[in-house]
Amino acid sequence: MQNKTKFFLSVRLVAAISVLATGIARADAPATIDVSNVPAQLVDDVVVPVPQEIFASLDKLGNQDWDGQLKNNEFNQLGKRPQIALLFGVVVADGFVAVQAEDAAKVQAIGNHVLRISRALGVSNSVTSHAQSIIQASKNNDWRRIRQELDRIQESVHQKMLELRDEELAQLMTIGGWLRGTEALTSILNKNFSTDGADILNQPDLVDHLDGQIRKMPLFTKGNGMVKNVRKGLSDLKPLLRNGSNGTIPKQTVDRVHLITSTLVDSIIANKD
Amino acid sequence: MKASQNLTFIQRGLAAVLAFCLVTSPAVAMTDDARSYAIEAAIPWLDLKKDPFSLRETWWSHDSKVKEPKIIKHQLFSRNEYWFWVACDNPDAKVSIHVYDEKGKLVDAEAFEKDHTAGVRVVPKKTGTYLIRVVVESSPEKKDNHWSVVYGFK
Repeated sequence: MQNKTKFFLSVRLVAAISVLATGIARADAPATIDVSNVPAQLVDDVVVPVPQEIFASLDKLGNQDWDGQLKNNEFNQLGKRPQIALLFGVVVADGFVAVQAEDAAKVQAIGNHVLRISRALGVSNSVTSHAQSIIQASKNNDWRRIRQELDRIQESVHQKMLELRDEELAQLMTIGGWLRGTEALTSILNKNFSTDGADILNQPDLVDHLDGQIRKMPLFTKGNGMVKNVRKGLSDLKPLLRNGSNGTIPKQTVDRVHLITSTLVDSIIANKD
Repeated sequence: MKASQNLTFIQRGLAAVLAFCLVTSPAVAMTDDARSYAIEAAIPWLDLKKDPFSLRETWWSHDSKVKEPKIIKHQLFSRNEYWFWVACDNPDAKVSIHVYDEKGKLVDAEAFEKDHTAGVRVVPKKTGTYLIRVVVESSPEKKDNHWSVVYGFK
């Protein structure tokens, strides 16, 4: 009994010394929180995951056919600014796909597309150095660096658009990227379906958020034909991107999500409403 | 002994370069101190030498009163591993960060609090929306404590 007491005292002593030595402490966190209070405590900003986050989850299920997901496109159909912003997001997301496929030539081409499209949006100053870094890193097969630069491009352009009071274009860029990422991952899931893999489509709040962003856009932007199409697509996706009553997403839902996202991405690339 | 000293030196060098790149990148031109502190808090946990976490360029910033919980809703994906780091711009403040699932159950894998920073690691079992709860535990300022959250994943 005495030994046991000594043992616990020693454990406590070691723990206390560790805390003092590292300066690291941990206050007890509540084991549960009342989710009904969440709306009042909520921070408005929503960060949309980069495609790499979703692809990383999928890759842990085994090797995937990323080569087969690359677009053979010049991305040269530039229309009105909302379409260009959506296209910019699509191209950056395509960059993430090219990195997954470790296709250096494709990554270089995407670096050049990104530069060209950023000029059309008037944000090339925020993009040039990152695009050049991507092209350089692709020569060294430095995939980690390329992923980082793709994320930086998104953030730089987002900040620049906010500065230019083009918030809705920043949001459309994010939506374009999310659509292209979802198209690629549903294509992979279609070919090699598993309920574990399909779990990554459980994104109800994210799709609500993207839809809500378009809803809040000025009439001038949300009246654009392409934006209307995207909004319709997001409305169709809303009931699909959530687990069913059995806690899973079935293959037919994955097929449907792929059809909607690929149709939208193709229309953005072709600049056809 | 010498090898471990060298390793520490290399790790510190890498960390300094990373911090410099992140803090000086154009996206961060309008950065705030809280974000810089959060990135500094992140560096020791990024596992730069082995299997590094990817630190996202985007971040959350907010002001809150002492003991006033703030919740960030965020999409997490199963099979990934995440770290979230928070820092207050006031070095005399104490802050905590924890992650809950959509039903309000704590899902931290590990967490720490150090000076005016804190971090939490999460390995979500299911893909979905999670709730990141930030609390300024104490501060000389009773209101308007500015904090930022950054995150990494692998």
